[in-house]
Amino acid sequence: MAKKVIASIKLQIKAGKATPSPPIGPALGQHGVNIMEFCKAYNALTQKQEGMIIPVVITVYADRSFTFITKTPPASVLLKQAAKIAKGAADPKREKVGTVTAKQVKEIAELKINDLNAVDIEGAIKIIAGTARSMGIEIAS
Amino acid sequence: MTEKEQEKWLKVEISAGSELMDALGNFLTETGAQGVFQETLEPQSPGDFPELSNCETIKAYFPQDVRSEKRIAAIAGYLESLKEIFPDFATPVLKTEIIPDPDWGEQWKKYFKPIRVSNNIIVKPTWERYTPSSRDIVIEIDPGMAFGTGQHASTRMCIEALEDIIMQDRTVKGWKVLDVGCGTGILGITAARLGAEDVICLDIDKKATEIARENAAINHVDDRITVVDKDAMTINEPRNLIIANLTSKLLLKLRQHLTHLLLPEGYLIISGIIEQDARDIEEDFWAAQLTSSRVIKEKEWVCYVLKKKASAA
Repeated sequence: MAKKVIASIKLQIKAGKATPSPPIGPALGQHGVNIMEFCKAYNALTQKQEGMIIPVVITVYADRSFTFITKTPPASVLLKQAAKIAKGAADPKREKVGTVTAKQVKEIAELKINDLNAVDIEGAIKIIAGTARSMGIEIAS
Repeated sequence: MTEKEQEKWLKVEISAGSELMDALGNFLTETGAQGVFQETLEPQSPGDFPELSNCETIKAYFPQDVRSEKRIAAIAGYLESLKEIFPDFATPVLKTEIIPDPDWGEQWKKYFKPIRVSNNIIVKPTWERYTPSSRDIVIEIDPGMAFGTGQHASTRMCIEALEDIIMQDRTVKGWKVLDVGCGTGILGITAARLGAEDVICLDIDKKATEIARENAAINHVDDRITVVDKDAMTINEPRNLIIANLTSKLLLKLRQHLTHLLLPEGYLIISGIIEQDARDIEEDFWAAQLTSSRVIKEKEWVCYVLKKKASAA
């Protein structure tokens, strides 16, 4: 029989650097997950990508066992890399911090499409473009 | 019990359209959070359907300090700006809370029960009862926030290997053990309980070494165990049994030094290796001085037992 799922948790954390402090401690602790066990497994799996943010989705079962899968880096991180900037804007309405090309947006959309809530590549591009706008990154036409 | 963390945390929660989650996560991280998370709770009875909406909630924690007010203002300012860019989206809602006494390390302990990890070895949390049968060796662990409860495959395989080596190889008179990255001390303590006369447990994490010391005392083997908060590279005492339950990256880095510390015909147990790294480990470790004596696998984890050649210097 399939095990009963009680929660799924999406965490965005740095590859190879998981520790029991927040956000991992509070995110997993309240569901009764053995925090150190998760940290050990996540770090072993992501040690080669150290420095990148590698999101992970953890499924917690009623007996408090868990499984997890890692995802592609967040679109915001990929956009910053493409625009060669370290940070997004604090006031994206008025402040422009960088530019990406439409081609770069499409490439990110293609990479991220499976993790996005999009029906097709056009939908995925729209989501990525929205994220860029929310960060003060302009898209060159 | 180990000392509870006393620091306070500022918890920030933002509910907004799912389209904004990626950018919000980025902004919270740039404002100083070590990461962010979202959770979905499954309905536990058929009547509990989650509300259908396009809204999601993202959460982040910041150390509660002099920067808190500035951080909250920056986040509120950012949300205002987003509202202007996307007037059609649901208005983002910001909630903040100060968490004075976090106990997120405690809750999972309810689910830590005594387990049999190998033929004769039982690991039990200090607060649980267990009635052993005649041949059982019961290791008591209070894990605090350190790694090693015997529940993880990488730890279990090390215990199995340890038991096998110490019980089977009767030619060795005195076992001198080194436990690299000891965490709770579970492996060093197991070695001592199996009869090793001199065990060094080391970890670079001071919190772990404090916990390991307490666990050594709880198991009445503190007279044979030395716990040190040092890097493995600083250890010079020759050993005939070394256990390293780390990551493959660290194992590769330490391979030369650990091999050097190992006496001829001594054993090296390496664990914490996931299957995808097994080849790198094999290529590096199955070197001239070491021979593979046993490979243990459980789920996606691999543990190797290596033996140093008699002729090796």
